[in-house]
Amino acid sequence: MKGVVFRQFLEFAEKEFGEAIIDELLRTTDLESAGVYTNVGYYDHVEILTLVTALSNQTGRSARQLLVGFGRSLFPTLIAGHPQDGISHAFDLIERIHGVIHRDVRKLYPDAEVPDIQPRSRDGDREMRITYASGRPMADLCEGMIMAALDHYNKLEDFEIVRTDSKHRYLYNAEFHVFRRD
Amino acid sequence: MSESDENLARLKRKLERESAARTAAENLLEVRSAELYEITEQLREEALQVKHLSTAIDVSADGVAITNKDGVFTYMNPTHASMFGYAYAGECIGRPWTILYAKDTLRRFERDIFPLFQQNGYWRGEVAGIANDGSKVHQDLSLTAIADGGILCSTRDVGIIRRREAQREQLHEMLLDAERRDALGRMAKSVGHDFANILAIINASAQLLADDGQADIFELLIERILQSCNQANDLVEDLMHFDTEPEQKVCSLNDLVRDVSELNSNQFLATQGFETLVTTSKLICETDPTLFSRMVFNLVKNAREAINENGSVYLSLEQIDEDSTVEPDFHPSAICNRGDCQSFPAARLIVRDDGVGMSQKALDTAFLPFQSTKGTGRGLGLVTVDALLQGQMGRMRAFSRPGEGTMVAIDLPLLDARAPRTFPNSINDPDKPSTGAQGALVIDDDQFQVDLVVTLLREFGWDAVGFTNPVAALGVFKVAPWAFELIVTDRRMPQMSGDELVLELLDVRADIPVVMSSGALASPLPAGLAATIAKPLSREKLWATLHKIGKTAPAHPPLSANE
Repeated sequence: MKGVVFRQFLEFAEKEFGEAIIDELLRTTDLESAGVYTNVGYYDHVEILTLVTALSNQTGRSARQLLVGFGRSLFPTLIAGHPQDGISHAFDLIERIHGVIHRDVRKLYPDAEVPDIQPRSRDGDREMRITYASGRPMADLCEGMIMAALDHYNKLEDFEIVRTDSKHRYLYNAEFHVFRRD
Repeated sequence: MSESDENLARLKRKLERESAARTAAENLLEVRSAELYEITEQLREEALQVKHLSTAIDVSADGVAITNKDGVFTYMNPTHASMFGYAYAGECIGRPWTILYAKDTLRRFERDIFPLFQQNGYWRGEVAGIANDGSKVHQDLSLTAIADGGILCSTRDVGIIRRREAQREQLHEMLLDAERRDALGRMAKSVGHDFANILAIINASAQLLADDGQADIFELLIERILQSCNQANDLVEDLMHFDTEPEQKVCSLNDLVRDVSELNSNQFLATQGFETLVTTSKLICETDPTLFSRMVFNLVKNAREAINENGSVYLSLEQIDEDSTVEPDFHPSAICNRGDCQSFPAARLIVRDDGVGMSQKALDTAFLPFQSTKGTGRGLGLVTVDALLQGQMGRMRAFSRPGEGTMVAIDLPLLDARAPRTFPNSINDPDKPSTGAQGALVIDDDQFQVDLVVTLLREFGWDAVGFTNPVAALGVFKVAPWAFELIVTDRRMPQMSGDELVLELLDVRADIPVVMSSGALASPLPAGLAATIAKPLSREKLWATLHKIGKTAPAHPPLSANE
C-alpha cells in the first residue's frame, strides 16, 4: 500500500486524537516499518490494519468508524493530484476511478494492488451502483471515500448510501447503492 | 517526567521518524532514479528497434495497416495507401477500413471472412478492394487479431503479380517468336545465298548468250543454265526434305567433283587461282549425289570467299588407303574432326585455300546448321558434311590457321574392296611414266575460255583441268607432269606470258604436247609448240588441231568424230 496512505492515516489520527495518542500508538505497536513512512514508499497493508486495530483499542472507536472517517479525510489528498476538468458530479469522478485514476497509479507503481472499484449501473445523477473488490478488507475505507466524493461536490446530504457486503468475503467485496434522497 | 519533557520527547521521536522517513525516501528515490535510468535506456533501445521495425514496415513492398477495435485505421504504410490510390497514408488514418471495399465485398466479410477470423484469430485469402479512383484492387489479404481488439492487415497487390505474369508470358511468346523469326531469317539467308550462286551462273550464262553471237557455245551455256536449274531444284527438294535421310546412289565421285568444279570455276576472279585435280581412277561410292555435290560446291565456295583477289583454291580427289594421313602444308592452329572412316580404300576430297583462315571457334561452328561466321547468309551449306558423313561412315578433317588458310579433307569409303586403278602419275611418284593418262591442262586468264576448252576437251574424252593462273598451273604440272598428255594455253596472261609458260612446261617435260590458243599468234612463237589455234576458238578448230597432232583421247573417241 502506498506510503501516502499511511502518512495520511497518521495525520488523520493525530488530528482526531492528538499527538500523544499517535506517539503511544507507534511506540507500542510492533510494525516492520517502525512507523517510518514516506509518501513514495510502499508498505505492507497489514500495517494499516494493525494501526487501525491498535487505535481502535486505544480510543474506543470501532474500526469501521476509523476507516470511514479516514476515507473521508484521505479522499481530498488523493484527488488533488488528478485533473478534474469537465467533472461536475461525484458519479463522474467515481466512474474515472478505475479507468483513469488507478491507471495513473500504476504508471508510478506498477506493482500497486489497487482495489477494483467500478460503477455497475448509473441513472443520470440520481443513482449509481458501485462494486468494491480487493485483496484487502477495506470496504469501510471505500465507503468513506464515496462519502467524501459526494461531499466534494456538496451532495452528501442529498444522497444515501446503502452498502451490501459479500457474505463470504465480508469487507473484501461489497456493493454500494448510492441514490438521491427524494 | 514533566509534561513539557514528555512533549519534548514526543517531538524528538517524531523528528526521528520524519528524519528516518526522509532518509528512506531519499534512498528510495536514489534506487528509483537508477531504475528509471535503466528503464529509460531500455526504452531508448526498444524505441530504436521499434523505429527500425517501423521503417521496415514503412518501406515494405507489402501493404500494412492497423485498425483499432472499432475498425478505424490507426496506421497505414505508404505501400498500402498507394495500393488503394491514396497519395499518403494520412488520408486513411482515422477512417474506417470499410472505405476500401465495395458493398458486396463487405457482405462477404460479414458472411464468410469475419466468422473464420473470430474463430481462428486470423484469416488469409484474396479479396477485391476499391481504390480511391474507383478501380478494383485485387489483393492477397492477411488479417491477424491483435491484443487490443484491433486488426493487423497485411496485403499484397495480386494484380501487379498477375500483370507481371502476363508480361512474362508475353515476353516469353515474343522470345519464341523472335527465335522463330531468327531461325527463319537464317534459313532464308542461307537459301538466298545458295540461290544467289545458282542464279549468278544462270544470269552470267544467259548474259553470254545474249551478248555472244557464237552459236557454238549456246549448247554449253544452255547446259549450264539447265544444270543450275537442276541444282536449284535439288536445293528446293532438299530444303523440303531437310530432316529426311540422304538418298544413296552408286555414283562416280570423279564426275561429281568435276561437275562442281566446273560450276565454280567461273565464279573466281581472273586474278584468283582455282585448280582442280581429280584422279583418273574411277572412285565409285554409294552416296547421295546431290548432297555430295552441294557439299563440294559449298566447300569450294567457302574457300573462294575466304581468299583475296590474288588467292588460290585447290580442289583434289584421290584414292587413299587406311594408313594415308592428312598433312596440311601449314601448321594448323585450329583443327576440327567429324565422323570416322572404317572402311578402305576410300576417296579423299581435299579443298585447300590460302585465304584468311579460321579460329578454332569459327571452325567448330562452321559445320553447325544455320551458323554463319561471315554474316553473309552462310550456314546451311556445310550441314551437308555431317549428313554425308553419317550416311556413309565417312570422316572429315579440317585444319586452319588465320593468315595461312584452310584445308578440309573428307574421306568416304569406296563402294567395294577392289582396288581401283591407281593414279599413274601420282604426286608421290612424279617420275613414273604415263601409261595412257588422259589429263589435259587448260590455261587461260579468261575463265570463260577455260570453261569452254575444258568442256570441249571433256567431250573429246580428255580428263581436262582448267587454270586461270599460269603460275599455279605450272606448279601443278611440276608436281605431276605425267598426269597430263595435253596442254592448251593462252599467250597473253597477266601473271606469266604464254611464251614463258611454254618454255617452263617443256623444261619440266620436253615431250608434252602444248597447243597455244590466242588471238595474237604473231612470231616469234616459243619453240616446242605442238600447234596453235587462232581465237575465237571453236569446237571444230580444237578438234581439228588435236587431230592434227594426234592427241585425240585414244580410249574415248570424240563425239564429233562420229558425226
